[in-house]
Amino acid sequence: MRRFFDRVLHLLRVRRPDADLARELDAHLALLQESYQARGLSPDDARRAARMALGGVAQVTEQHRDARSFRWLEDALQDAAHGARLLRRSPVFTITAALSLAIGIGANTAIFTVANSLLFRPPTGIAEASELIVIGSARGDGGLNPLPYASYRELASRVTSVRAVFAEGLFPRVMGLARSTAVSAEAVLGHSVTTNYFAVLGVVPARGRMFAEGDRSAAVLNHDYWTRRLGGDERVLGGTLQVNGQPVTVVGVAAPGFQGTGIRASDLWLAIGPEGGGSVVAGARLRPDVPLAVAAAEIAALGDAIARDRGVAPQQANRLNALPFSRAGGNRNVVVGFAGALMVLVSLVLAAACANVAGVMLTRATARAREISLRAALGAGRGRLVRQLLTEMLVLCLIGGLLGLALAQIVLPAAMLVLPPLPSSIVVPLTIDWRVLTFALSLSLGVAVIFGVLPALKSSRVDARGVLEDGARSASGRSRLRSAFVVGQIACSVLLVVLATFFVRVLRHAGGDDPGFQVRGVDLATIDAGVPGLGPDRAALWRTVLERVRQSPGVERASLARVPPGGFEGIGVGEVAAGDQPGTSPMFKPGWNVVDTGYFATLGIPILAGRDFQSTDTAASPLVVVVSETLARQLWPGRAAIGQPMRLSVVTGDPKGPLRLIATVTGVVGDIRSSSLVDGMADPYVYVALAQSEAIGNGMTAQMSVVARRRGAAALTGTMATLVQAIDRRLVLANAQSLSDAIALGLTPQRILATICGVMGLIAVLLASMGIYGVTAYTVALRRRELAIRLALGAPRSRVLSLVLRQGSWLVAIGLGIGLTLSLGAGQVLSVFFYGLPAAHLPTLLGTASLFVVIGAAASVIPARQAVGDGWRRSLQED
Amino acid sequence: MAAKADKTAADRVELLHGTLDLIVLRALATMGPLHAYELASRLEQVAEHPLMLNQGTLYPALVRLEQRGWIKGTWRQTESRRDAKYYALAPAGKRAVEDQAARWRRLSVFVDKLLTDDV
Repeated sequence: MRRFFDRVLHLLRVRRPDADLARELDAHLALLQESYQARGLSPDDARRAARMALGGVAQVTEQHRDARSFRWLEDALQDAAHGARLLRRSPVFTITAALSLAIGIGANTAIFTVANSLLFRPPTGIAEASELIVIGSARGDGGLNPLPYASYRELASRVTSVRAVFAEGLFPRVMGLARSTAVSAEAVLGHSVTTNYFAVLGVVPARGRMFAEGDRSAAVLNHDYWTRRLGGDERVLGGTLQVNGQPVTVVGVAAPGFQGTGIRASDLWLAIGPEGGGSVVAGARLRPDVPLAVAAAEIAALGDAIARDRGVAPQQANRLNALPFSRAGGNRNVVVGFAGALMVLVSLVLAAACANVAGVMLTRATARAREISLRAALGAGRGRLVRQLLTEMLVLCLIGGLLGLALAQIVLPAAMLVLPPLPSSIVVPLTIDWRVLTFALSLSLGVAVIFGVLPALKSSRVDARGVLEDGARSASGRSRLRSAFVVGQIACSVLLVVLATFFVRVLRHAGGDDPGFQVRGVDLATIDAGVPGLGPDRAALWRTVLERVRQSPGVERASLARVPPGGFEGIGVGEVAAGDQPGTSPMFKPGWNVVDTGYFATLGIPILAGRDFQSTDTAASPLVVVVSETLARQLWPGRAAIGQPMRLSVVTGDPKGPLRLIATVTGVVGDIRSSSLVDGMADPYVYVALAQSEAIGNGMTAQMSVVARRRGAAALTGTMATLVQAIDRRLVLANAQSLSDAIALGLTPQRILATICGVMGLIAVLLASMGIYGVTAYTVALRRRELAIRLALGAPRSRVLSLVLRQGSWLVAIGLGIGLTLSLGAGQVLSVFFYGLPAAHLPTLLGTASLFVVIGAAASVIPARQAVGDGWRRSLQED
Repeated sequence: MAAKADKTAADRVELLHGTLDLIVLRALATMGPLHAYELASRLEQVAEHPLMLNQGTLYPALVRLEQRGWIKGTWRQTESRRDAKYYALAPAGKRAVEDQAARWRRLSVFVDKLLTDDV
């Protein structure tokens, strides 16, 4: 410790010790000169002789400085060079080890790169992002939901612990933008923000100005959009654009690079006028002296006070909370959870790779026992030996780390290609910054230390005399450690294989086999009529849209739905119960959907009883509903559901409580399973007719999707876009994709999990078989003489063979036991998230077990056969 | 003068790497605190064969030993009233002398064995 301190001191203050040395050397020279003069030399000769005896002041100073500061570095470089030499001498080992480490480190780094972009790397163009926070209403899982605009206004006027509060819409929305009323609109992503948004974020204008207090119907353009689509036309500034048919004044262009705060790039920002609107996400800039926790506490208290003032019961009020600002916004915890889960998965492979490398290192340490004990005999301290072995591991891990970084850079863009097409472009820059570098390097160093220390300690503990005198015979401790590594490896790979099959089952059950509707040949087009500027008579708009689509020659059938399958499984509107008497039967919370006539036929959902909605079901006629098979069974077990009365309790946001209605069941349709939910556990579903949807609350039909089945092979998305613009040239499609793409997009997390588990499982199985092979070959080598003696004494080959195989089987058995136990535990945890999927799936477990038994046998048979092969006689004559 | 220098150069023993530390420690252990010039003269005296000791090479050894906490340097005045840095053995250095001596004995036995055994 003192030495370290000294060195740091030396490094920091080079001048003082140099001056000290100069003084010391002066004294030395003077004394030497005196002694030479005493022997009779002239003063000049004496001075020259003294200098010669000392050997050059400059050289001494240089040597002195080296000794002072860089000895440790020299040691480390020596060790590294020695390690590199050893690694070069066994290229096969080095390449496999470095590659397997690279896969583990690379996979972790790739995941971290994405998480880094979402969580830590501030979006471009924002000043001092570390001071920013995001505010919303607290969600049970630790995330944030948007809050009403009115609450934001009140919060902004009362909060004191932050410098300023701003608000923005939850997402940018697709809007129709035209340079004049005479041309058709093009779809752009527009984001509604408060007028202080840019000021608080610290975004500067590239042209014109940012929003100012009191701006209405004003827009700021994205620099990228302005140059790309408007040709960088300066005349746009101060002029008017038509956004959703409303004139908007362009006040400025934001600084290049600024795309917004979230993961979707906005083409333009619209000022939220003082009248405000809807739900918003709030953000704020902290005062320099106020920590996040203090601000969050004040915001939560203010949120409670606002709720109290409005007379909302405390248990019903949504508490406000603040989180650090990031691209992930209020979904920070979701990103952390998912990235964490992925990292745990790929770390299993990293652990398996490290166990493999550490195992081989141990074996080689045994082979090097002579070298090591010689060095110990020559006085190399144990610490120095441990350091040397560790350095070797470190060199290997650093090579692996660097390769891993490169691998991550290759894998990430490739993974992006495999993902289903995204409905809008996202901004998640996947660049290596210092955080990614730090992560990859500390991960490499970390695994080097964790997996290097134990083998290094074990190997450096040598009985110098013993080994030198009669060669290495007993290395049972090391062999045990190596076996433990192999057991760990097998356990990791078993876990990965079981998890991979788990997620594959999730994918299959989630819709691949029988989602309850026909996925192929259906296209979706979403129209957002909730954007400002469209007339209030949406019912007429929807009627026209559907009529035109149905008349289109490429369309076989078409209908409209609030939420088509894929992505969301219905929306939460409220609860339902059987019968018309309140309190007589339990309430259910089904998925809700608003659909037009012909929806079931378009998607191929079978009508099991009763009828579909008809044109006679109107706002004026009695309220009817169609229920899914599961809901019918739950509400009226063993009875026909058709004609039964059903109580609806619809949440409207009215403080007086939910809206209560009675409806009659007019049809029962088949269950659908399209998103993450699993077999046998289809969500209960209730469908309401579009024509009657006003009855269950306004705003439900502000956005609808056209669901159209193609007649031919050509996709209808283009046709529908043209059709919609022909109806109203201000209208654009908010989203257009095929149903299968939409479903694939909804299943992306599961697909990522299944793919990663599958690939990693395969690699882990390979590593495990290498490990089993290695450990068997190693024991065979150690016991070569013993086995040869057995054979010489007449033991049958099969007996000796089974002796060797027994060891491998033990390792596989123990590893399997641990791995299967772990995967049962993991299955329990996962079945909570993917309910309906059994935690233990017997065929999977049996299949995995037999896979590893086969691998274990195959990997240990080769070295075992060598032991009893024809060469055994020779081993008797050796030594 | 020149002829004498040539002769001594031929007879000089190259110091085995690492031995200098032990020699310095031993000298300080037996003689008490010394400054670098005294140390150098002392080493030249005790050597049966003239050592190939550039007096300057002492300095890196001294700083190394000081960093290990084995010796400690302090500025004092010599008898001839000249400032010089005196090096004394620290407590850790006393233990180190024992360790280093044992280590070298082991090595010398080993080397001896190598040289005398049939090879």
